[in-house]
Order: sequence, then structure tokens, then C-alpha cells
Amino acid sequence: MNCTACGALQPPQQGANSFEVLGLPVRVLVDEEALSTRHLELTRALHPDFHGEASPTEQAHSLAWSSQVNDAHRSVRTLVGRVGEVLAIHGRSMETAETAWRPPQDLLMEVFEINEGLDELESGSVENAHQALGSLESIVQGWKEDVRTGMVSHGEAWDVADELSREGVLDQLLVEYARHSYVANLWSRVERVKRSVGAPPERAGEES
Amino acid sequence: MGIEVGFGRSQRPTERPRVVGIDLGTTNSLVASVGEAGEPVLLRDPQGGGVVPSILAFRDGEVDAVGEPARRRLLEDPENAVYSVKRLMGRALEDMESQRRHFPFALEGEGTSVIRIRMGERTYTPTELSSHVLRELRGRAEEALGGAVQKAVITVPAHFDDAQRQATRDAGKLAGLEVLRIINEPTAAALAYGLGDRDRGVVAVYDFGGGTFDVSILRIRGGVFEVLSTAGDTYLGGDDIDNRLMDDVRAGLEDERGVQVAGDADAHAVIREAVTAAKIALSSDPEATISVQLKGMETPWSTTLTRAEFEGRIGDLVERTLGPCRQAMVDAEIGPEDIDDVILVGGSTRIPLVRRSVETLFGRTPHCEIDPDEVVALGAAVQADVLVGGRRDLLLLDVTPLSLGIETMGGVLSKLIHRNSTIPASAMEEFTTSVDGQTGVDIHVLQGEREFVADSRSLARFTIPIESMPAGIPRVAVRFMIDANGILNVSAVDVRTGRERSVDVKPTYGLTDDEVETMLMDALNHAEEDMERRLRVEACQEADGVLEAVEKGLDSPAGGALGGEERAAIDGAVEALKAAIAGEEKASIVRARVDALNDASKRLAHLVMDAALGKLSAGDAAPSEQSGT
Repeated sequence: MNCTACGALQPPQQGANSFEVLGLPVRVLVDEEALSTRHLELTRALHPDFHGEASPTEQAHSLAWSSQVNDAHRSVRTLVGRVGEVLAIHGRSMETAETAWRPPQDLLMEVFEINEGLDELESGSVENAHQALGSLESIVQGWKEDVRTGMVSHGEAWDVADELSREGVLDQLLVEYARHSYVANLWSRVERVKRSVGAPPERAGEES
Repeated sequence: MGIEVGFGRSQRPTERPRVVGIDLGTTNSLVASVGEAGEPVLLRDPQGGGVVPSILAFRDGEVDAVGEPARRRLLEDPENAVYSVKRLMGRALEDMESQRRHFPFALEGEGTSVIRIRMGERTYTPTELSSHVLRELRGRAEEALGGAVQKAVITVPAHFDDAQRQATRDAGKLAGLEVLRIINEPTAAALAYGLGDRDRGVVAVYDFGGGTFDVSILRIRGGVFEVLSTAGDTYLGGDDIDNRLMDDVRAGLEDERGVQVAGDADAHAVIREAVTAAKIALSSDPEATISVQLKGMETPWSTTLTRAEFEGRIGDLVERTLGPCRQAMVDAEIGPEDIDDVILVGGSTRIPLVRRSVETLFGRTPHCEIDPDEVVALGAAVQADVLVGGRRDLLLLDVTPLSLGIETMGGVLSKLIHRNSTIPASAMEEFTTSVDGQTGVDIHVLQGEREFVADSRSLARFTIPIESMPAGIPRVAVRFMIDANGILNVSAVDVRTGRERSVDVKPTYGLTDDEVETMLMDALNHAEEDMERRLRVEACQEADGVLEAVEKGLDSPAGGALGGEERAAIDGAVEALKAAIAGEEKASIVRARVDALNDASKRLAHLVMDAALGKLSAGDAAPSEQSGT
């Protein structure tokens, strides 16, 4: 980061991946607390607040560095983010994910029913709205956990895989990533409906 | 070395550049700096007042008074006073339509152009008006610190968008300040509380000010104050509580007295003062009387408001603050049980209902050990100290309150940087051309959480210049960067050649760089006038002191001991000085005549001093205060 001769802050490298920016090995499973500590260490060294009296060039480098470190941390601080980053590093994009996995027929049917249920809830015509929402929510929640479990197990495999087996593991990660996007879309719909239905009523006796 | 005896002050302030933190508020503004001991202190006027009301008074269309004198003028001559300017910062007239009746000023502007406030022949942008408040604070700081102040950190509501932040930074520039950083008010408040006695914890800052509401959740560890989430409402503040009560008073006046007050600036000012006083009283008293006497009314109209009634009237406004609090917790992925401390900021948090609501929501008694009106300025001073290298143990990591995106096909907002991202933050996007020979790509940048451009706030437009080539061949990478001030910077690079492309960003709302430049030139001219005016005021104050002392001396026995020639010289100098003051001569002339009078009255000063010393040694002037009980 700093020039070995003059100590001045140098510009960040262009095109580095998020793991490289943070100076970490490319891994799906990491200690998120340690990742956050690493982010703060780098930030302490690079943040514009601590370069306020430096030359304009160094200030610009500090801003570029600092944003790059923040951007990198943002991309890899969650499990899903790290899977996405690993896939991107190996040339798998969202478009390839869509071809890698399509929702099977029976899932489509189930999702269709869930969406119908959510439509009804949004129209306000459901009597026991909170209960109905709760049961839909738990189905989608279950899928979310499923995807997460898949990501963790394939992620673990990727982290230890050798050159030969990596490609296969990447394909599996890609499937999980596509499943995740599908379920995440549905989940955000559930969240929206949750807001429109409002908080569950206070239980009797809690007032007064 | 002899002791100089005279009637004038001999000490002049020494030059020392200082940095300050400024809370530029809707209702009140404050300035603070970090003292020798490293602790932030509020800078006060000689009378001990720490607050500058964010009010301006005009005479013949020119700004004539700022702060407390302007507040008094607001009551006497409301047509020539402006307040709550912060609510207009970075806004266009079209943004203010729903609130217009609460602003009894003549607002002008077309489309998305900057709103202007008409005062007589002239119109002013909110940026210009705010710069006068900042200049007043700067003057106060210079007086308190005894030297020039050129650098400042200025705070804004966390929910301010790009245009509002830029307008605030421009106001600082116009006031002759180098704005080191724009920081968020709730974050500043957290800094003011500092680390306390623990090194880590999660803090929620509930900031309910005069014009805006913000909530921020921070994680503190190892001296790093990291904002996890922020939420709020830029159109919700104590002003709304006042407006609610003002509507009630207007209705009462109309029903019971048949008085119509719509559009009457005098009535507006009188009613506003009455309801604000009642609101403040209700924070400590069970009931308050609102009494209003307008011109032409024989007896005042009055009504009594109990605290319960008041709470009934504002309950929904307070409730509206709780939504963003819940949102902030969801975004930070924490629950109330994870929050260690809650901090209260802003005058509206003095309202008991607000405190109760906050306590219920978060399940703990909120902190208000530091005056909720002062805490933001104190925190800004701490950050200013960090920025000039004063301390390294603290670091502030804030987030952007709004998502940043660009317009894509079909008027859809494609988000590049999501809200609550730690700043500085950036996103890179590659663009190409869709037809052969196209020489530019138009980009529309917006801020907001909605899916469509129509529901988002336009931030800026610009065109990336591209060399004429077949469609799809050029590749330009554009970097959108939100800097540590929360302000957008755009840069573009030709991917093939690696050459930088210059980008001319035109803000949708707010001022172009040229407009700011013009205002700056204008302000520079004013700055000289301001400086002269300040020097003159100081010189006249000193002159008054010397004149009083000399006249007292002449009337005393010491005066009788003077020779005729000496006496005449003093009388002549007194007359000359009085003439300079009455004739509104320049500060330098007033000062020269003060010096002349001091010179002429040197022997008189000695005689007075000797007489006083003689009295003391005679023992008949025992200080009365020291008598014990």
C-alpha cells in the first residue's frame, strides 16, 4: 500500500478480487468475526480521516483504497456474497446460473400456490391473516435454510478441493446460488406482504 | 519595564488557526471545538449563550441580523425574517408544495431549479441564507478562540440526500470555511458520548430535531464507531408538532373570534411563538396556556392545553418515528435486546411522550446526560479534531442512507450501491454504445429505495464522451463513488485505452459549480464588508468603554486636578471620538481616535488610579463581598 522508498500511499491495484483486496485466501467458509476485524485493520490504515493532512494525491489514493476495502468487505461478508464472489472469480455469472438450474415442475406448482396465498393476504380478504402468513412464511423459511445448508456443504468441499475436482464443485455451488436467488425473490415478497399485513395484534391482557 | 496605565484594553487576540464542529440546525445552530484537555467544549458568546437561532432578519432586502437579534425581529417584523431554512436546503419548489402553508415566505423557483426566497428586490437560495448563519457561528468561534477559524466539520441529518449535503457544503464554502467533512448528526452524537467506560457495545441514537428525524445504530469496538444502519424521515421534526398546534390555534381563532389568519405573516409569527412556548412548558408542567393577541383584537384569545391533550395531538407524529427505529434494527440484523445504550438527541426528545415511547421500544432508559441540543456540535468538534490529526484512537465509519442507482430501460432503477453500505463506497459499471457512430452515453443517477425511476429522487445527469465507433465496440467503465461526506463523485475510464474520460455531472437539484463560484465571488465581497462591520462593532464597544471611564474620571476629584490645557485636550479627543462614532466612520478611524483619547487622558488615568490606591491603603474600602456569615 505504501511506497517502500518514500512511505507515501500508493494507488490500489485495479481489477483485484475482493479476497485479494482484503489480503485473504479465496474461501467460502470463513470466520466472519475475523473478516470484520481484518476490514477494520485495513480501514484504520487507509481511511481518508487519517490522511486529511496528506498530499492531494495521497488523499485521493486513500479514498480509492478505503472504498475498495469497504466494497470488498461488503461483497464477501456473507456466505451468499462469498459464493457469488468465488463464482465470479471463476467466470460464472448470474446468466450462467440461470442456465445451470431451473425450478423443477413440482416446486413451480408449490410456489404458484404460495403466491396465490400472498395475493389473497395483500387484498386483505383473509380472516386469520397472521396465521395464514405464518404458515406460508415457514415453508419459504424452510427452503432458505435448505439452500444455506447446501451452500455450506459445497462451500466446505470447494475450500479443500484440489484443481481436478474444483470444476465439479463450482457447478454445484452455481446451482445453490441460482436456487438462492429464486428463494430470495420469494422471501422478499413474503417480507413485503408481512409489512402490509402489519404487526400481530397485542395479546389480550397485555394492555391495562 | 514600566506599567502602562490607560483606559483602553491593551490585549489584542493572537492569531491561531482552529478547527470547529458546527451543528447547523433547523431551529438552532451551535459551534464547538476541542479544548486543550482534549474535551469538546461549546463556544459561547460573551453573555454565555451557546445557541444561535437559525433565523435571519432583513432590511431593504439585505441580511441585517442573524441569530438572537433576528429572532426578536421575527416577532416585530415577521415579513422581513426567515427561519427553518434547513428544510429548504437542496430542494426545489415542487418538493415543498405540501408544506408551503407552513412557510410564510415568498418561495420561488421552477421545475427542479433551486428554491429561492424573495426578500424585497432580492432572492436568496437556502445555501446563501445558511451561509450567513455559518458566518455568524464562525465569528462567534473566532471571538471565543481568539483567532481565525478556517476549517470546520458540519453536521447534517443522516437522511439528507446528495443535493442536501452538497447544499450544506456549499454554504460552508460561502461562509469562508474549508469544510473538512460533512458528518451525520446521530453519528456525531455518538462520538460526543465517546467510548464511556467500555470498549465495545451497540448504541442506538434517536435524533428528533426541529425539522428532521433520524435513527442510527452503531457498533463500537476498539475505538471504531461503525454505523450498522440508519433510517429516518427528512420531513418530520419539532416543526411539525408546532404546525399541528398552530392549526388548532388558527381554527380556534376562526371559530371563536371569526379571525382569518391565513397568509398573515404577523399572525403566523405570534401564533408560532405562543405554541412553541406552550410546547416547551408542557415538558415540565402538567398544563400550559396558549395566549394569542393579534393586531386588532381587543382581548387576547387563550386556551389551556393539558399534557394529556398535547400527547393526544402529537401521538401519531411520535409513532411515526418508531417505524424507522424498527427498520434500522431489521437492517442492522439486531433486536432491542442487543442494544446496550440508547442516546437521545435533539430538542424534541425533551417531550416526555417521546422519552416514554423510546424507552418502551428499546426496553431501556435512554441517555441524555449530555444536553440533547449540544451533543451534535460537541461530536462534530471531536471529528474535526480527528481530521486535523489531533487524535487517532477514534474512527468513524458511516453508511449511505439511500441506495444509489442508474436509470435503465423502461424507467427501472438499477441499484449500484445499496443503502447502509459503509462509505466511502463505490461501484463500477461498464457501458457501451447501441448504434454505430454514437459519441456519447447518457447516464441518469438517482437515489432511493423504490424500483422505478419515477419514484426515486433524481440526483444528476451526465454524458460520457465516446469516440465514434461501430455499436458495441467502445467500452467505458464508470465508477460511482460515494465519498466519506456521503457525496457522489463520478469518474470514467476508457477500458481499451485506459485513458480517463472527463465527466461533467449536472446536478438535478442544487447548484452547478459555476453557480457556487458566482456566489462565492459575491460572498467574498460581502466578507470584506462583514469584516469591516465586525471590526467597527468592536471598535465602538471599546470606544464606549473608554468614553465612560474618561467621563467618570473627569467628574471625580482626579478630574479637578487637571490643568486647563490638559482638560481641553481631553475634551477635544472626546468630541472627535464621538463624532467618529456618530458619523459611522471606518473602524480604523474609530480606533485611531480611541488611541488619541487614551493618549490625551494618560495623566487622568494615573490620577484616578492613585486616588483608588490611596483609598485602599486608607483602609476604608474593605471589599464587602468577603464579609463572612
